Amino acid sequence: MAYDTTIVNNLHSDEIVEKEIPDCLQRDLLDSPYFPKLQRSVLIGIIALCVIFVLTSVNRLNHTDLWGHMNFGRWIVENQSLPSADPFALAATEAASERTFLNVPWLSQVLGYFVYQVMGAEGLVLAHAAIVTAACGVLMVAIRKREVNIYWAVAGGILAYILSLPVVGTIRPQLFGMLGAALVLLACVCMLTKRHPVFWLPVVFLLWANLHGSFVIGLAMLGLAVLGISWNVRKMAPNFQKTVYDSRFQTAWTTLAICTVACCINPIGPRLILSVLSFGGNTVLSGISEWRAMSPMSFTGILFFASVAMLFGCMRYSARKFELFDVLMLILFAVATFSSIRMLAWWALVLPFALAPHAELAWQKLRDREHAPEPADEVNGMATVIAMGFVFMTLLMAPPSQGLLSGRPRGITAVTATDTPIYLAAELNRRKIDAPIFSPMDWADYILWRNDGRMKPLVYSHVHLTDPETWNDYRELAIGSVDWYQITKKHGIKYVALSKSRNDSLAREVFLASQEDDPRVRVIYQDQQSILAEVLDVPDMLEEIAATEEPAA
Amino acid sequence: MLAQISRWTLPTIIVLTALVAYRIAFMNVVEENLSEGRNEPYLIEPQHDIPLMVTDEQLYRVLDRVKPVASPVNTNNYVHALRLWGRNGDFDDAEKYISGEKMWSYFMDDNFFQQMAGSNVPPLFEMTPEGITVRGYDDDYNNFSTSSYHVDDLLATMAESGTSLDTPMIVRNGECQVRDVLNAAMKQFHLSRHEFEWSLISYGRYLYPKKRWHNRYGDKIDVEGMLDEIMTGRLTDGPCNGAHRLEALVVLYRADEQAQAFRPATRQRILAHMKHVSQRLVEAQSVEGYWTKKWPLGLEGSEDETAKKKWPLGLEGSEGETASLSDKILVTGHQLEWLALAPPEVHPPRENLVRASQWLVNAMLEIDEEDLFKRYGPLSHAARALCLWRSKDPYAAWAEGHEVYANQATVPAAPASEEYESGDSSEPNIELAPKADAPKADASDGAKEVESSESVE
Repeated sequence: MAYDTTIVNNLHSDEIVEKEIPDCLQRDLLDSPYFPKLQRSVLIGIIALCVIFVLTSVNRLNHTDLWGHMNFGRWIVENQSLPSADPFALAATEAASERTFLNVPWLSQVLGYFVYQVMGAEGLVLAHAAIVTAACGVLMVAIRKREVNIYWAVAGGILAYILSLPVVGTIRPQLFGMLGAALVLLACVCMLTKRHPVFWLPVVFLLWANLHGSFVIGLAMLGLAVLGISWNVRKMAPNFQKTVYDSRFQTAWTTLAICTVACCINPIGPRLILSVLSFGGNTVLSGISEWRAMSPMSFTGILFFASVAMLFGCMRYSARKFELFDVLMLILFAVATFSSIRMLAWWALVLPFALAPHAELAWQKLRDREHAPEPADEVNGMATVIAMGFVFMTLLMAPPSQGLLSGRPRGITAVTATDTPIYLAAELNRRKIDAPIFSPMDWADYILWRNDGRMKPLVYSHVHLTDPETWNDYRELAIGSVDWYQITKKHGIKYVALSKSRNDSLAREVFLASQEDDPRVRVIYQDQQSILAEVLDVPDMLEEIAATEEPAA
Repeated sequence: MLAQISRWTLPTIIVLTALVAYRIAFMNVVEENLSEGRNEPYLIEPQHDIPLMVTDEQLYRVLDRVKPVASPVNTNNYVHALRLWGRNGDFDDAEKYISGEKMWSYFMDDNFFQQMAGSNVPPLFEMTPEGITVRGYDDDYNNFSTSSYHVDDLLATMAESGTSLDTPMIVRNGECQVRDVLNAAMKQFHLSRHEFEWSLISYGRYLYPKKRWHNRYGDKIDVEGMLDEIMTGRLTDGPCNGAHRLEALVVLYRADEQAQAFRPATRQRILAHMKHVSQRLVEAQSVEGYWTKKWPLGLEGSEDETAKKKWPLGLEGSEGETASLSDKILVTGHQLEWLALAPPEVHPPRENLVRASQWLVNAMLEIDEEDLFKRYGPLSHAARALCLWRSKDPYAAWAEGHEVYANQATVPAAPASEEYESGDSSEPNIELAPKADAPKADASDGAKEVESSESVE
């Protein structure tokens, strides 16, 4: 009992209590100048980013155009130069491509190749997750810089991830563009009060122009921001001269000018900007789904229209005025996204950035509360420890980092999308086949990759490098044209590698022909996914084909 | 300043240190060794001796027709012959027939292979960075007769012949063991394959009860996935009208009787599938006793071939055609073969089995000599099936019969009046022998069709 009284008596004085607590317990508070302390809200942000990392790392390597870029990366590294014509096209197409050849994302191709060389396919998955996480993280910071509560900034980052789900699951150079765009948005906010974007943003654009053609999107964002800032300055300044001498006005325009110049530092110089702007006019691209207009009933369409509805809802309840910059960006990217699915990636960044400040106010209004000051968000050393624990566990749990850390990478079949023609490519490799081949264009990328670039596919996923006639022939073959033999011979194709599901018509035709000892074709391999057939030369038929082609020529 | 640097770098350093520690803990990753453990393959013993299916003399007569011809050299025929006769086979005319030992050496010693096939013929087995690879049918059309016709068929034959994994092999560019062939085959194996039957048979005999492993592409292969491939596909998918998938299934089932590793539900699922197939066979059986490639259609499949019904055509399927004799032998022989190893509860009624085997005996005795070589594969399966139903070693059965029946010219009639030894049928007075005219007519018709057949079995 005497012992208890002593404790109670001691509690009357904080000073006494501090003296009573041993040092070892005080150290548990992590109250050291050498150890960082985090706000709880920052901890929430880090946890959200960890979740985004894990979710992204679950995506397999989709074979849209990834392996095509990897082929270019390997070619550039092996040849120590940039290609002047399409190095993987059939001879005729290669010659034709010399005039129009454009390979903007050479740097991301080289980076991707190096990552693969060092860490294998797991490294690509890891890089994919890291870039997406970084883009969402930067966007959170950009939103936070708009004086938005950090919880809403985190929500904005998560919203961006959700909106970009249809595009963000696929690894491609465009992801660098998403990171670049997030950095531009951050710079747009910072330019209002700081000068430092003048120094680092041009570096971003210099890299971006060599990583992916979407740098023009960044320039557009920056241009709109500069217009917005100029408009605001002009409104407050008594005259134009005062406007021009305003530091914010000068910073904004200087940044834009330097960034534009930085974009011209690339293998083809200023011509790149014009080339990229005219890229969408390529007629062949109209056959690619991601360049088509959005369908309202698609997943992309549902996400887009839901986000627009969310925007109007916030406008209804938000007391804050929309900045001109926000309005211009929202209009531009809404129109662009509606006309081309591919633009959803940018809409996914722009919308949360513009929406978050208004969502915060709308939420407060709906809860019938005044704009109260943020609740106390004290810094805490334990929050840092928890954050470190989350990062550690995330890296252990995420499949690619787990595979690399444990020294047991999952293997190519576990890392790649299920339709990747892994076994077909292995068979082509085993047979050392390096003749012209027809295959689905996305398969051609992977086949080329496994085949060390020796094969010449009729078309691979870089369809913008293909001439319209070859593209039409490719489509005819893909759907199983009755003239398949003539088309293959016209392009000198020696092998056809067919998907049993996507080229079912031609696969069936070829299989039956081979079964019936048709002299034109011989099936040499098949699995449950594919058929590989050798297209043979039948002299009589070749003469016939030549005779029909001559008058046309 | 130091405190500021520390605050920025310390968390990163701590996390990186923890990750490095984790990495070091998992540094010593051992390469997955597939074939560790058992050295001898599971032998799936026959379990019946039913003279009603085939008498001793019939068996001798049939076996005498499928003695392995030495020349011309044909890997597919040798592998079927080795599978049927084993290493003991040694026949009276050494010039004409190849012995079991020679066939064995053909596969196990590349020097002997070159003696037989020619030194300019590419090797059958080869050491590559991916392990021991086998030259396949599609790899070299100029030498297809000396190639393996089906993926992993040579390995499966080694397993069926009881070859232990440490058996040495001499290949063109070095020496290895059967274990190396197995490791390479299993590392290369994947369930997307068009042909996986012989790989599963090799797995079942050599590796089971190891339930999962990763192939060289990182695909996880597990026994449940294999069973799914067999039991969820169409019944005729795969070579030989789907019969080898059933054989693989029964091998796995019987191997599990020794290993006891399947869950009861899995065993029930396998039995149910085999029973389903068995019921289809009963429905599809012809009056004479044979089955055609249309057997999965059940009752429809039993209709006369002149109906020429087209049946569902798929890429791996076979178009419904008028059944030739060789096709009937192919299907009937293969079906009787897997049924002989299957548990009795899934068998068709004894009457159906006897009718089928008696038709098969007659067809085998009547088929053209020329076709014997062309269609040696299916015929060897048929002969093996008959031996299994008598639980007789083929060479021993032939040798015994040779002493007794060699000088008798006639083929005995089926023992129609004998009692059934066992089985669920209670009707002894059924017509056991095929109708006298039907097989003969088929034989002559079929022989013509076989001539034009180029299919590989």
